[in-house]
Amino acid sequence: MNWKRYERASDLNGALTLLDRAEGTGRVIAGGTDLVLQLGQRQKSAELLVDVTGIDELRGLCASGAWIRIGAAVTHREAAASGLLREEAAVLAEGCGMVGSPQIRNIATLMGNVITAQPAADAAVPLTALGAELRVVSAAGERWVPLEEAYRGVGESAIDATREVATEIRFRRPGAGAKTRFFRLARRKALALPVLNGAVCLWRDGDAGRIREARIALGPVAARPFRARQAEACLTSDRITAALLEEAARLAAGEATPRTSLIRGSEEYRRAMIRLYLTRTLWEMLDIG
Amino acid sequence: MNEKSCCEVIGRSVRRVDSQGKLTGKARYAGDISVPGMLHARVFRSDRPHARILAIRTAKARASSGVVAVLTHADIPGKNVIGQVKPDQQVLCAEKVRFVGDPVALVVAETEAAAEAALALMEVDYADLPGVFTPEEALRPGAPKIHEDGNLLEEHALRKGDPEQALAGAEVVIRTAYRTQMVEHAYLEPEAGVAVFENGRATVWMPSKYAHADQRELATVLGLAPENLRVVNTTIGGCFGDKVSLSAGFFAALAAVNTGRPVRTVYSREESFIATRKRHPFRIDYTLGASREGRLVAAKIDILADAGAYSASSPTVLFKALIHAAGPYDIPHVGMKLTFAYTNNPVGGSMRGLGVPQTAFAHESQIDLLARKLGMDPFELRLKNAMRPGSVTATGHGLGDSVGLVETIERVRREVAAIGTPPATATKRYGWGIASMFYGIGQSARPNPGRARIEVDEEGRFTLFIGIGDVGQGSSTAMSQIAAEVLGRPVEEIRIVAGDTASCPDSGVTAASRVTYIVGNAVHMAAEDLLTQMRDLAAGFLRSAPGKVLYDGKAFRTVEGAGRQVSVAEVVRSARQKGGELCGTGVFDPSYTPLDPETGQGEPMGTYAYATQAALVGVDKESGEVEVLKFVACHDVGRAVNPKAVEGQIEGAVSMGLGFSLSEEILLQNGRMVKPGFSQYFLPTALDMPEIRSLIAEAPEATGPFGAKGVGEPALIPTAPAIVNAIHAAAGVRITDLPATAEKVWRLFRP
Amino acid sequence: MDHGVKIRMKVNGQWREAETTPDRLLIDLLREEFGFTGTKKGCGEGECGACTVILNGRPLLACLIPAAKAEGADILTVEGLTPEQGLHPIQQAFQDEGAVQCGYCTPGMVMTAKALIDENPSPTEAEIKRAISGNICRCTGYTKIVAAIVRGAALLRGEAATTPAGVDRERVPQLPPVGPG
Ligand code: FES
Ligand code: FES
Repeated sequence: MNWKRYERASDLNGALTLLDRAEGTGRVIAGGTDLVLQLGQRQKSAELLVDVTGIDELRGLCASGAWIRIGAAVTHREAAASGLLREEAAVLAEGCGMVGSPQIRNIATLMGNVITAQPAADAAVPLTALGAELRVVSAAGERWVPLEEAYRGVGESAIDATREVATEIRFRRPGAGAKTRFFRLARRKALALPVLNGAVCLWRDGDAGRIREARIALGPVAARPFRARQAEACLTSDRITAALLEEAARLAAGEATPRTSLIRGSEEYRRAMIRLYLTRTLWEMLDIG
Repeated sequence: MNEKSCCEVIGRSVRRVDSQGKLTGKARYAGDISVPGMLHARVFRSDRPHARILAIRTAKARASSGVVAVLTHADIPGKNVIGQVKPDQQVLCAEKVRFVGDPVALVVAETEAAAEAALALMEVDYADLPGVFTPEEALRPGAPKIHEDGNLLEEHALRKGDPEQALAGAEVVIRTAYRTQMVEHAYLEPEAGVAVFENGRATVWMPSKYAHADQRELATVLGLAPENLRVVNTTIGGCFGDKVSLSAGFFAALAAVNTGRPVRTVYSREESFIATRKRHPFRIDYTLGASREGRLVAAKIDILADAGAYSASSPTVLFKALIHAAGPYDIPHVGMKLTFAYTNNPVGGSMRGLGVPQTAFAHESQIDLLARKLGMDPFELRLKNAMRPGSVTATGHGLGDSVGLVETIERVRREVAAIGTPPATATKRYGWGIASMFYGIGQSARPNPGRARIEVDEEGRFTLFIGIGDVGQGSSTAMSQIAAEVLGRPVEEIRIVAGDTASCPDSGVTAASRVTYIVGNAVHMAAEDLLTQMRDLAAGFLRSAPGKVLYDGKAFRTVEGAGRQVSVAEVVRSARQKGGELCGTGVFDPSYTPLDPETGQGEPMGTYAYATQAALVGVDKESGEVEVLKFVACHDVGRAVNPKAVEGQIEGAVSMGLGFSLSEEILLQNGRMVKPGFSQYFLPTALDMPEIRSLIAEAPEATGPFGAKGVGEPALIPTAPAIVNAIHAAAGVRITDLPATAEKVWRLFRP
Repeated sequence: MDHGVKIRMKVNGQWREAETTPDRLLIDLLREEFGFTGTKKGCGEGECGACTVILNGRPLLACLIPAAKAEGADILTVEGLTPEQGLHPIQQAFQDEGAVQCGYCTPGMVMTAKALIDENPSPTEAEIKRAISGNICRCTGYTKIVAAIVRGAALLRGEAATTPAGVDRERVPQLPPVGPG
């Protein structure tokens, strides 16, 4: 016997009340594509599942002022097809389009991709590069959690889905001077977690010869989506040259901590691929070569 | 007298006889069957690779809600031993477990969930024994013994001519060590079976490609006379050589006999990975000698295979490998040694190609390396040595006329030239690789008769009974076509019953690509037999001689009198009135001579199929990623009974070969599978598949039905070496260890 | 057994209700309670697509959806796609192209194709490959499945589909006139 009750909340307060009453035995479910398997394999447990995908206020994907806001019920399919994202944050639309399979993307949510806390998550990695944060609501009130602080460990979120509802993801609109790109290496072209994925966001307004700001997120090369901060710093430290990009990629490969795995490959190979893919991506983004 | 031109149905891509049911969801796979009052049985399996069983405690599981029974070895009514070639395996382990997944107990409950929950409550005390996880370790003196009589399962040699001397004198010698990986069949339908036991008789519905063999083996386990056990083949959701012997239906039957209630057993995907048989990993040490002009003079081949915990079909695999390991070439001097060792790994079984995909990887890589060394075109080198009518195989088998290899090489060569090779880009290199093969149709050097029966009823309707199940490849359609051709009826009008021990004759197994050739011949004979019987009766009716009676599919009439005719239905009715039944039977067993135990010489197969394939790959020079872009496959099938079905076999086999060469691998750590299931086992998806051009060559086989041979397995055999040779052509590196993952290719780029 | 929750949904055009355990998955409800065994379970882990059904217009995996999540939903399975007589054009195209072998992936594949064509009546081969990239077929190598979906879409657009290359579909044996041998 798995969960004993399944409730579909129609508003946020209702969901919070249900969780509150369950006193830690309830758990939020959205698309459920990971959670159902984890519950089935007894990796997680819950007496009560509270489905939040019917809550209207969690459904939106829109720009509001300086932000892009993505509700907790928005699916990968919606994000991948979103004109707004393709226009302003292509890296996220591209990443979302690579998750699992079309059927999975039709129901799995971006928020779920974050809460399930897998370092390889194809939505969470671009969201990390975009500097996203999560709105988390509980009986105690609400707070904003920077994405990078939303992880405790592999498969372990800092959001307590037995008591809190993460309602929204938001990030600053990258703006006109920004370029973003996603890359991915996998054992086959669909239905595969990546051996390596990465999201790069670059801002180069002002002096065209320099990068003003760079954000690089990589997965699965650490216990969570990983910001390659040394590489980012390197990219803004000097004028854009092929050597600068290669140095940044080299740094990223050094600061990431991939481990040898039978399925994903050796540490050596994975570091080499970080360097290779990052170099290629940066070259393409900056039209070098 | 030529009544109808050959062929109206043979050679046409008629619709499959079973696709309607499969498309509408009406086809019944074993897991779809529900019987009122049905229980659910789940197998409790060993989580140890090698251990002595000290105690099996079932009380907690038995007390769990919804549980009806927990069965162990003590509850087996008959013999607790199976093994179709060598009986060395228990249905439920009594004293010892030999691999992770060995069955220990059977939990029977009202619902699947209750059975599943009770599995977690099973308690078994084990004394772990040291495990053996490679065949090399297994054969080391003093290695822990997996079976009483040691770890050497089987060893055989082949000797033709004087290979040592010929190699010593060869102008060019290439020696390479190859390794292949463990592979999962990954049919999409997990094993399932449903059993009912009433009044001392059991009926089991299960995907069974050889219902009679399952009946014989399972009857001994259940302690029933075979006639009290009926095995009914259900729609088979793929098998590729597996779903034999100890399968879900066996467990369902055991539970039904013990509880007296209907029982269903369905494996989870994870269980299917852990418990079922696998393709044997091979280590192959291959030495090939040739003259400077590219004439092959000698081959010396040493093979060591990991057979896993039980013998299963290892001997079958061994002989197929032995017969084919020298490739489709006329080589005067050949020496081989094949050794199969037990380990505490998953059990090696039969899988599409039976060891030949592994050996073909080696010999086709060798030919490619030789072509490079000699600076010869690889097509040219193959043509120079290709088997032709009259060539002699490594086992000393002189070939007949149906040898279409040269045509397959030439046609693939033309096709490859027409497509061309894309120019290299900054990061990618492209290249074509080719590979050829030959493959003996049917089981090796032993009797393997196929039987068929055709009945006709009073309405003049024909029913074909064969013992073999359609594993998805379309055998029921092909068999119906053969009967339809002889009987002059549309395929849809031939009813077929395939694989029910209550009504079908024993046709042998659906394996070794033998169905078209062997069972097809039996069907052909049965149809001819029936037609002869009907014609004789009709002649009596028409007061004519049988030789003067014409048949048009519905009726018989005399050559002379246009007006006089008698219908099939009338013939049947009159026969019945006289107390006779019209029934045609056929049995075909290909001729062979046994292999000499010392030298492996003999004529083991009735006939051989031939093929050449070519792959165009793109290799990323920096990451090692390989993409297969185009594929050309030309197969000599003797005669394509159903060309579309032949194409379908080729396309499917190419996808399986693509997985074998690039991505599929069962990873084990001390006998334990890493992430059993689909999520980390990389079957090709639609996006991974290249465009495939299938070409059919037809070198008719005089002893085949309408000249047909077979294609099911041959299509897979050259795929992996074609891809690996293409990687070499594109990127200049040689993969000798499958699968060719990006990392392996990348490593070869490093100094 | 803890039964006790009632779940209602519209399956193949008809409202149906089952009393079941609260943790039942949609695939089991469809197969075991409603008897729609056309929906297959190839893996139960979201990795093969055999269990694909169309739920509120979208292809989804019935093995990953709690039945309760589908409460009130409108679900189409392969049984609902099949007309009373004959085959749906997509099924017909699969038959004509020889896209069925063992058939275990077939219902899921057909439902995925149906959802694709509903949304995109003229899909390209590349779009088709992407749409079925979550449906594993171990038997066919996908070539004929892609061709079948191209053909099915054409049939649904009402375009007179040509006979697939190399196939004489309608041909039944025509017996030659009988005459003296
Ligand atoms: S059974 Fe649902 S994806 Fe395989
Ligand atoms: S036809 Fe067998 S899996 Fe597709």
